[in-house]
Parts: sequence; structure tokens; C-alpha cells
Amino acid sequence: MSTESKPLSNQESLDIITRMIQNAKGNIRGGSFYFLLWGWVAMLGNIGHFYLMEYTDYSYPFAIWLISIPAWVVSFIYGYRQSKKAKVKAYSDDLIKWVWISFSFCLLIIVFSGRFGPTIPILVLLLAGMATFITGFIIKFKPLIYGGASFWIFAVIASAVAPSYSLLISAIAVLVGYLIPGYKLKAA
Amino acid sequence: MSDFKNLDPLLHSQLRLAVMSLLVSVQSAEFVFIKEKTGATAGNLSVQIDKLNNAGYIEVTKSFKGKKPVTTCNISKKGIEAFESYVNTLQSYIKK
Repeated sequence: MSTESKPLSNQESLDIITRMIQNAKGNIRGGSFYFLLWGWVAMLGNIGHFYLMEYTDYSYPFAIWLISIPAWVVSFIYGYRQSKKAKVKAYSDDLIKWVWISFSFCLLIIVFSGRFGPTIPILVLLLAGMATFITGFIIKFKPLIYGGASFWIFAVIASAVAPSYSLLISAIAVLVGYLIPGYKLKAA
Repeated sequence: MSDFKNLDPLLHSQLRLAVMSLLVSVQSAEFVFIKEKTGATAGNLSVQIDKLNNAGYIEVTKSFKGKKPVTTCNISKKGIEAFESYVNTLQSYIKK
């Protein structure tokens, strides 16, 4: 690109502005890592919790969720490495990051306050739906928007079945609302 | 070309306008990213970035990634205002 020797016409100026703003759009595929990691963790957690609760005498079926600890560690390391590697920082990166950090705070309160009991899977579905829906809008990726909305439908279904079965509904919700859009995002 | 008398001369240049359009869309960008997206040579880009920096339109930060020096640019408040005013003036010409 040359500098300022020849004068710019209105149209040329507009073309430069449009092209550069288009060029600045970041690579959204990187975000698929989190959807796939947490999608599989949530899937295993829900199915494992259901299995331990229904088919074994194990007193702490919720202990399966300890698998989320290594997932947190992996998420932090991956996020740190990605931010070090990135040559550009988009506004959307921070927005998405804070949406999911606030989701995580809500999750910690819901799980560790001990006040929500069997409604936990339903509340998690509602909040995960909101975070996924907003993320979909920020990166303008329709499968995530639909995926986020599907969480809300599954939340209603989960509230209508027996508590243990709400875990299975959550597993299906994770597949539809998280993993399928996550794989589509990876392929985008 | 008298129509262009109100367009900020600092922005009314291909490469500087391209740099500002990129930076207005992101929080910050490294020199190599701007070079890649604009297709400019390092020397030319460096000169234009200096001009924008001296005018207070952008902020330039020099740091290290490991042992590698990294130059990061971000648009300033003054730069955003100048860019908006440039686009508004451009729009008013097009509407004429």
C-alpha cells in the first residue's frame, strides 16, 4: 500500500475504511476449544452423575464433577498461551471472557451455597443458555445463538421431569447447545 | 479537489487511513498484524505510525515477548474523534 503521493477520492477512502474494518475481524475459531472442552466435561459430568445416582449405591454421585478441576486448569493455561500468542486484541475477546467469568461466578454460588438442591441443573441450563446466546451474538455465529436458545427449552423440559432425569436432559442440552455449535465453530 | 479542504490531511492518505480504520476496530494490534493487514512495507508503515503517534491519534507501546521486541498500537480518544469527524465529512460530501 502506497502512502500519500496520489490524492484519494471519496470512494477510495470509503473502500479503505470498509476493507480494513472487515480485515480487523478476528479469528473466531479459537473459541471452539472452550466449547468442545467444557461440552465434553459437562456431558461426562451429567451422564456420570446420573449413572452413579441411579445405578450405584455410591453416596457422593456429585463427586464426578471433580473432573471440572483439570478442565479449569487446562482452560486457564490455554487462555494464557493464546493471549500471549495473539497479535491483535479485539473488543469482543474481553466481552466474551467476562460473560463466561460471570457465568462461572454464578455457577460457584449456585453449586456451593447449598441452597438450590435439585434445581441446580435447571439453573445451570438457564445461565449457560444466556452466556452461549450472548457469545453467539458477539461473534455473529448463528449455531451458537440457536444453541443458547435451545438451553432454555431444555431447562423447561428438565424442570418437568424427575430430578435425576434432569441430568440426562442437561446432557442432551450440552450436545445440542454446546458441542454441535462448538464443532461447527471449529469448522467455520 | 477543493471539496477535500475540510478532510483531515493526516487521515486523508491511503496507509494512515488504513491503519486508523484497523485500530478503530480493535483494542490494540501489534505492528506485524498491521503490516500484514495493510500490505505495507515495514519502513513505510513505521514512518506513518510515527506521524499518527506524534499527532496523538494513536498510542504506541514497546514491550518484549520473551526476548523478542514487540510494538503495540492502539487508537487514542483524540484519534477516535478525528476518525469520526473524517468519516462524517466524507459522508457529507457523498450526500451532496
